[in-house]
This record gives sequence, structure tokens and C-alpha cells, in this order.
Amino acid sequence: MKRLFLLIPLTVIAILFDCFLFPALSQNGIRPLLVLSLALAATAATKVQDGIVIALIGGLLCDLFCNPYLGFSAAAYLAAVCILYGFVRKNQPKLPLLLIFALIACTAAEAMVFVFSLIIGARFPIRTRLLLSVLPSLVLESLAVLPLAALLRVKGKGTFDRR
Amino acid sequence: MRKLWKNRPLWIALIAIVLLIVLAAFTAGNRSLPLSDGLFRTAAAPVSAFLHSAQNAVGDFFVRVFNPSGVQAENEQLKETLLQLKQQLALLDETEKENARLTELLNYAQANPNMQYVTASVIARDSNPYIDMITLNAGSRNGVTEKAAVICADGIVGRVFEVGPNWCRVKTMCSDEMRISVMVQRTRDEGMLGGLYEEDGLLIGTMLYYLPGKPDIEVGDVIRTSGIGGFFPKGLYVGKVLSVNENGKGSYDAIVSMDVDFVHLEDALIIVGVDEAVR
Repeated sequence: MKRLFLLIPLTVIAILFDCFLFPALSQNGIRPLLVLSLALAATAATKVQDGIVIALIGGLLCDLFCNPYLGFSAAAYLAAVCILYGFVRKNQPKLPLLLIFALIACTAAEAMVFVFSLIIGARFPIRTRLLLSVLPSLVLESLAVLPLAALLRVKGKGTFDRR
Repeated sequence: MRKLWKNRPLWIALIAIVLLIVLAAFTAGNRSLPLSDGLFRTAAAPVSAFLHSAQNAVGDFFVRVFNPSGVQAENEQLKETLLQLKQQLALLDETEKENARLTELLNYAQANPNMQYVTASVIARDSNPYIDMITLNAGSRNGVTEKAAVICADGIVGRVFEVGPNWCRVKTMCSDEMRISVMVQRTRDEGMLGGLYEEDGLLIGTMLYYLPGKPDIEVGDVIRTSGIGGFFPKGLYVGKVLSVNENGKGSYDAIVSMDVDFVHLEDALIIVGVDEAVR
């Protein structure tokens, strides 16, 4: 239960940040997806089910509030969670390795969103967007996974069975 | 289902992904954003406005990090713009000063409407310390004749000495050869002004000779042209008395200071016609 008291407020905060704070701060499209980071951190630090629930609910709410489509962010976040789970299900990686895994998972999610945006007709110079927005967002998201995972590991320690 | 969720979460996730993609494909482009455009964004507007101030700093950081060549190009462009603006500012400053000078001359001309003037700029001046000869950019084409009087807002500059089609040379009051007939405005005593007075190698003023035996002249008295000789119209301002001295020949001389700054003189009025009443 303790982890739920931690995960629920964190998820709410992440959704609020993704939907309202980061769009206001966004410059050149740089918008780190905190919900994605939290889902990945939960997958790495607690259980994959937590990551799936956060990705699904958080992604749907983010789409509901901010995006012109419904469900694709949730799908991308879920895909990222699945990829990370593939890396971490055997053993719990140390933080530097987790950073690399998170980066790969975030890249997959961003790539999905990027491709889907192109498919539905978003128009922007791809090279510029990759350089100015996607790459910085990826770095920020991956870096955010580390403290979140550390927080979940420390605070949730002993209160639940990992997988 | 609970067992499946515990044992096969990935399968559930994969099915969810497929369903969500289908949902997204159906909703893409057709969905208005009632919640975000309405309630939430309205509520978040003040916060967004506050946070907007931090936006540039955050964005600029990443632009600098990820697009240094663009920043460099922008920097070069800004430098070029700055240089152009500096040049324009200098030009504006110069134009403003010229405007002030010409306004001063115009005011003088309007205050003395009984004379006809040609405005001219100094295009050359002698390099000796006293600037006894200057060249103006007006000549016979403009109606300038030899011996025409040249003045500025501060007083008499000199007399035209040589005239070309579009230029003329002017012998200034700093020339030791200049002689003009003047009078003391207050007492109407007449005398001859000419010759330089120096102290320790510095030009102090011009000498005023041939004052009557015991003139009633004081320091600060205004000296004006008397009109005698016909070259300078009567009543032009010349300068003020600096000192009065007995010359040892039974008469008195005075030293007259001139207000004209010959070193920095840039524009002048050449008198090309005088109404009979002034003569």
C-alpha cells in the first residue's frame, strides 16, 4: 500500500506537469514526458504492473488534455515500459545502466510519437525537430528516470515484493 | 483475469497498445479539446503567464547547446546590425548638429530681414593658428562678389577676398590685414578695428584704434559696424570691449574680443545684398 501512496500523487503531479507546466515552459518543442519517466522508473524500481498502469492512465489523461489524438501517448508509453521490462526483468540494474535502458525505452516512445505525428499530418522540419526538441527531451526524460527510480526503491523498500 | 495480470502483464500491455493505436487512429484530427481548451487551460492561464517569463531562458539554453552555428550566425548578424545602427546614430548626431547651426543662422537672417544672404559651408581653412583665411562653398553662381561681408550668428567672420564659380575665399577677422570701421554702440564713438592682440602667444582679440581723446568707453561695451566704407552694413555685431588703454599718443586704444569661434566655424552667411535703409 505504501507504494500506492507514493505512486498515485507522483502520477498526478507528473500528469499536471506534462499537461500544464511543461507546455508553458516549452521552447522549440522541448517537452520532457514526466509520465513516461515515472512509468519507466516504476517498472525498474517496483513492478511492471505499476509501470503499465501509470503509462496507460497517465498517457490517456495526457492525450485527453493536450493532444489532438486519444490513446497514442498511452500506447507509446506502454511500449517503452515493455522494452524496459525486457531489460530489467532478470535483475535490477544499477543506475548508470538503468540510464542507458531508459534512454532506449524513451527513444522508442518518442520515435513512435514522432512517426505517428508525421502520419496524422504534423508539419515540421524533421532535422530541426530532432536536434532541437526530441534529443533534449529524451535526455531529460532518461535523466528523470534515475531519481524517480531511486526514490521508489528507497521509499518502497520492504513494503512490496518486486515482481 | 487477475491471474493473467499477475503472470502475463506484457500480453495485456501489448493488447492495450494495439487497441490504443486503433483508438488514436480513429480520433486523430477529429477530436476537439474541450477539456484542455476550456476549463483546464483557462485555470492554468495565470500560471502559464507567470512561467512564460522563464521560457526564454530555458529555450535559449538548449538553442545554444544544440544549435551553436545558428547562434553564431545570429551573433554575426546582430553585430552587423549594431554597426549599421552606430553609423546611423553618428549620422543622426551630425545632422542634428548641422540642423542646430543652420537654425541659428536662419534665426539671425530672420532677425535681420533687410539683408540678402547666401548660406555657405566652410570647405577649407588655413592651417595656421589664427585661421586668417577660409574657403566657402558658394561663389559667383550664387551671387557672391568680392569684398562681400561674411557673418555668422556670433558676429562678423570676415570679407570675401577671392571668388570662383562655386567657391570663395574669405579673409577672416583673425587676419592682421583686416580693417573695418566700427563704433561703440552705447556712446556712438567711432574707431578703426584691425590688428591682432596677443598675450603669451595667444590671440586675445583685435585692436580698436583711433578712439577720441578721452572716450567714454567701458569694459563690456558692445562694438558694432559703423557702415562707413560700405563693405559692412551698419549695425553688425562685432564683439565686446575687453580693456581700454592709453596708447601714449594722446588717444586711447581698446581691445575687443570676438565671439566667433573661427576654429570650429562650419557655416556662415554671405551678405549679397543690403537694403538702402541699412546703408
